[in-house]
Amino acid sequence: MIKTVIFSMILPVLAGGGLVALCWLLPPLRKWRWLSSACFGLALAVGVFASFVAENGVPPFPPAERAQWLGFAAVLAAVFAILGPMTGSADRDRKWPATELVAFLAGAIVAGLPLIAELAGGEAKSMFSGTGPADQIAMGLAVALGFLALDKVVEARPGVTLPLALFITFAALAPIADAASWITLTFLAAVSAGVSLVAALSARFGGGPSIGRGGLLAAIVLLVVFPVAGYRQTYGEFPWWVWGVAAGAPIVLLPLENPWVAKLPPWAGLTLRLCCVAALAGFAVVVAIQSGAGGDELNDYGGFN
Amino acid sequence: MRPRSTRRSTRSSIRPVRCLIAAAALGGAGLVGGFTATGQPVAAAATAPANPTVAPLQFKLDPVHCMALFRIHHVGAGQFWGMFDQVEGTMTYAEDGKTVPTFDVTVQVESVHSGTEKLDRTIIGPQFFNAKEYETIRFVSTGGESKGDGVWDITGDFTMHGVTRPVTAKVEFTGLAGNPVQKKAGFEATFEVKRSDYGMDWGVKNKALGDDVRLVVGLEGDWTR
Repeated sequence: MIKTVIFSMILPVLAGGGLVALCWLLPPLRKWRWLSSACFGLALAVGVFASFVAENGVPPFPPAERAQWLGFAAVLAAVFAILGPMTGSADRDRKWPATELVAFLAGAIVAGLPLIAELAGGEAKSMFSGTGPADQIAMGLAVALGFLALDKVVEARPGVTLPLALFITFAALAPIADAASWITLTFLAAVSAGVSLVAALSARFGGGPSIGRGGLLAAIVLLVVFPVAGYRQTYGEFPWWVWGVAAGAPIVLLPLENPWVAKLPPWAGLTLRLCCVAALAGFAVVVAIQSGAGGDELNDYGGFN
Repeated sequence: MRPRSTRRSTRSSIRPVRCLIAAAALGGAGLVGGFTATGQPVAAAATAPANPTVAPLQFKLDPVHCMALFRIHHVGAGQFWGMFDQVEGTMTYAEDGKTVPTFDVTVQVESVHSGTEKLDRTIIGPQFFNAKEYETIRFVSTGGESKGDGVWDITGDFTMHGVTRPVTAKVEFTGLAGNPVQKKAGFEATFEVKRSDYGMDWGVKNKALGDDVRLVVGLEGDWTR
């Protein structure tokens, strides 16, 4: 068990967290704007992919099993992390390409992943069990809408707000994945939470950089793929919306970008924002754990580890 | 005395006729040649094979009385047992015990029982059997060899987790019950597989869970005629 935790969680967090800490804390790297905007997304991707490989080995492409799409979600997150900053960042002129165009392209890529797999010689089956083209389009829409909603927050809230909100969100997805009895997804969510926490600490002491469009796109891809995979591939005994409430918790940051909250002292505004995210994510965790534990007296003996 | 003597004479005169009728009947059944001391038919070399075989009976597996148990080493310590209770399929068995029985057995993965609900969900989840993608485990026999005393080494294709590989199972005949119109036959099969051969390798490298899985399958089928 200790070996599993070391290879599947601690080392991936160190790899991803180390990357973002270096980029945001070392002055020469911090001045490199593209890297500063890309590093959070890359850190998430590195951590998640390392954890997936430690658990399941390097996945083939096209994936032989649907669960292997989790590994390629990390690859896609890395691609978005690299390309995202090129479309503009919080501190650059973003007249073109428009935010909407970026959102549309990102959503279209996610929706079209099975077609990409088919072009690579695989079978054009949907990403997860029981899903079809409509689910793929829904996933693409979720990525696009999530990006549209949070891009404004990224622009308005550099610093610790988003890394901490993502830490809370991923930290909530981990026990939900555990309640659904999927060890790999539990580790992936935990690693994402760990990387986000390191990013928040680095932002706190690194001059408050923004996660940028790259980091946002990478995080959103994971926040869409994780819950859909968890819902479709497992036998969790809690309602489907638990996944959505937990993964969608950061959206609550958008309505909090209003004049009333803006008048609050910075520490109060931050606390309010994080409490709102934590309330939604925490509610989802409570429902998942209570539903999963019902009628199972031997619950503590579950799992092979 | 005379009358008795007359009757004897009459019976002895019709005996050859009865024997001819019996011989004709046996000949029609392909059993020409008479009977051995134990009452078993003796084949005539000219009209039948040296080792006659009885046509195998077809059986449909009775899901209520079939189950598949598996055993695996947990964290290098104890042997952990679980079972699948939805076992379906067909098998054949010839009452002469010489013909190699055949099997086509399908196990529904979601029917797993480990004694703990959460562990059941883990076993059928994407970490192990991935039952949403691979709903069944199947064994289809392709041949076999008798080991005597109702035991065979049955070879066949074993499909699990979407991977098909040949395996050899030790199959023991456990009994035939019933009457001429209703019969039940039973077998017990034992074999081992390496789960990593089937792409199910979580926990093998870090020894959280063993690689070798022993399967013991109890089968009972109803004669389908």
